[in-house]
Amino acid sequence: MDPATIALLGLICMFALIALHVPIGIAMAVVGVSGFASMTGWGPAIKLLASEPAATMANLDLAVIPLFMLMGSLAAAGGLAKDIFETAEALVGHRPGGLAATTIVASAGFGAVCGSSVATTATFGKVALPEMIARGYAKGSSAGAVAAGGTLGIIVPPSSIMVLYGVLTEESVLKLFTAAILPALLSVALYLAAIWVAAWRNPEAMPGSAKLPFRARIVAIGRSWGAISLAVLVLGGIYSGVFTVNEAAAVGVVFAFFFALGRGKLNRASFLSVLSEASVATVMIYVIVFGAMIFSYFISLSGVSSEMMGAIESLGLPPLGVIFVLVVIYLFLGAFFDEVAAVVVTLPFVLPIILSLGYDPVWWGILNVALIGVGMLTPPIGINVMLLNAMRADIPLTAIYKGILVFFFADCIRILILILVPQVTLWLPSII
Amino acid sequence: MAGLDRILRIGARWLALVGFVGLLALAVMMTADAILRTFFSAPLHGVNDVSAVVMAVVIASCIPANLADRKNISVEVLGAILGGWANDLLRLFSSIVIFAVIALMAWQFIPFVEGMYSSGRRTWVLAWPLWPWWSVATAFLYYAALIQASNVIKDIIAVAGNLGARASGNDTLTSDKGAR
Repeated sequence: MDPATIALLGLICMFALIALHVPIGIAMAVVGVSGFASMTGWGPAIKLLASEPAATMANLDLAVIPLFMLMGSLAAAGGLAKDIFETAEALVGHRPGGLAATTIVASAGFGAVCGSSVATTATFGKVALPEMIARGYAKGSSAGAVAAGGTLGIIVPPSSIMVLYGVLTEESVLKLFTAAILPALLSVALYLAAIWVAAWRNPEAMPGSAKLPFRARIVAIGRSWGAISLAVLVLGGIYSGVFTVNEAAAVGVVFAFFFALGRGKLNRASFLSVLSEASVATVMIYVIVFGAMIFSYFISLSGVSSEMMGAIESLGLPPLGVIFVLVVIYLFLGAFFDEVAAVVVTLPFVLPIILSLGYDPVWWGILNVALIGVGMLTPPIGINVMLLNAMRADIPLTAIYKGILVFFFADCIRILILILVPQVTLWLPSII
Repeated sequence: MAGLDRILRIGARWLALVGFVGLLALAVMMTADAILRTFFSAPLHGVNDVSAVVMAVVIASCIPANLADRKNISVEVLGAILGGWANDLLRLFSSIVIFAVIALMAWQFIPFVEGMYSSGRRTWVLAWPLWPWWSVATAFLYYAALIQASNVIKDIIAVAGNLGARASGNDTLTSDKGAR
């Protein structure tokens, strides 16, 4: 059997194992080892089960992921999400669709101290959703705003998925974080525009709040000094070059820890809960990376990537046409896989295609993260939607999907802009 | 048996907590290094060395708890569609595959650590021997395999229990039909 056929069979087996409930990282490892063994023998293949996980565990670039996870958990335990929400409300809450806009701005702000889409959705599902519903917002619109806001958690730097992409593609994480700034601002702007359109079309579903006096707004901003300091410390430290990404994450952990402690939010039980939450989230990512590293060995050896590139060239599609095909594939995958899985599973196949078409891997990395974010909102299984449905069983899935529609249109515009105007992504890294 | 399983799981959770306390301590050390380097031009030597070895132990320490809580990323659509008994079977299948991979991984870590010991590999700056740290990580992987074996046993019991219930349900159905 030729290597390309083995790779194709491997891919089918991997999806079959995933469908049979085998965790994605484990399925990739099983197929990676078996495929590698079919080409080189079991001796070298089985050794991958030690060498690749060991290399991953000792990788200092990846060490930033557990640190960011811990920082995010400590920030949430310290009540930073609520602070950010109150500040955002003071700033934009009085506008049409004010609380929905507040949720979007607050989610982006929390994304700057968290870095995970699911964690951002879960946090604002607790902080913002009850508040919106209590103030007369339609349940579907409220949940839609929270789910869409959650996707900002991965596009606003620092982002765990960007760290992972940087490590797997050997791209600079700092460059990725810099490249993400304008797309993140674009996402927030488009989501706010979407809310104003939705509020204009159906004012009853998104009533506005009273405008706070200037002094009260300043006080509200002052209340979120902890969140602002943490974001400035981490992002400012990274962008100014004072800290490496790892150091910034470590400083963020220490700040968030002492902030939560000083606020009296960290007792024994909550501290243990923070550690447990962060450790679980960390290992979930590491297991998938173990599998991805082993799987990548198999795919590289099979040479299937070059065959795929040949097949794509034979289709005669222009490079932009190939990108649009990939967009459709990612929207589909994002609806089934979580953010980490969708990127890691596809990278060994897709990155060689992107590079052969002459595109910048940093541009693709940001577009990829944006696409995965959209996939987390789309049916049949948008992860953010499922999470909210699990948290609030009284809001039917159909209502949430209806509430998301307006954000989906905003996302389509965003994706089109990111594809057609690569400078939105690549301009900032080119001048820094 | 249930008592042993409970002890194993509690131990796994505490191990993960201790691991993450270690991560917090590492974060404090990295922060001190960054501050000392930036403001006093006096960095702590070998922070990267400590990070590399501590991270391996931290991650390995969390794997048993992750398996105990079954918190891996998976797509469980098929079981949700097919329902209870099929879902239990899929869960058992998944548990067996995870056990095989973790057990093989733990087994392969032994020669990996032996290689480190015999080659005398050390960290770059502090020249700490690597093998003791990786031995600890290997021990945690064996613990993870033990936890996963316990998961497999639990899942076999669940499937067998379901099978028994179905069998008795069928009997009832048969006698009901007979009664009609």
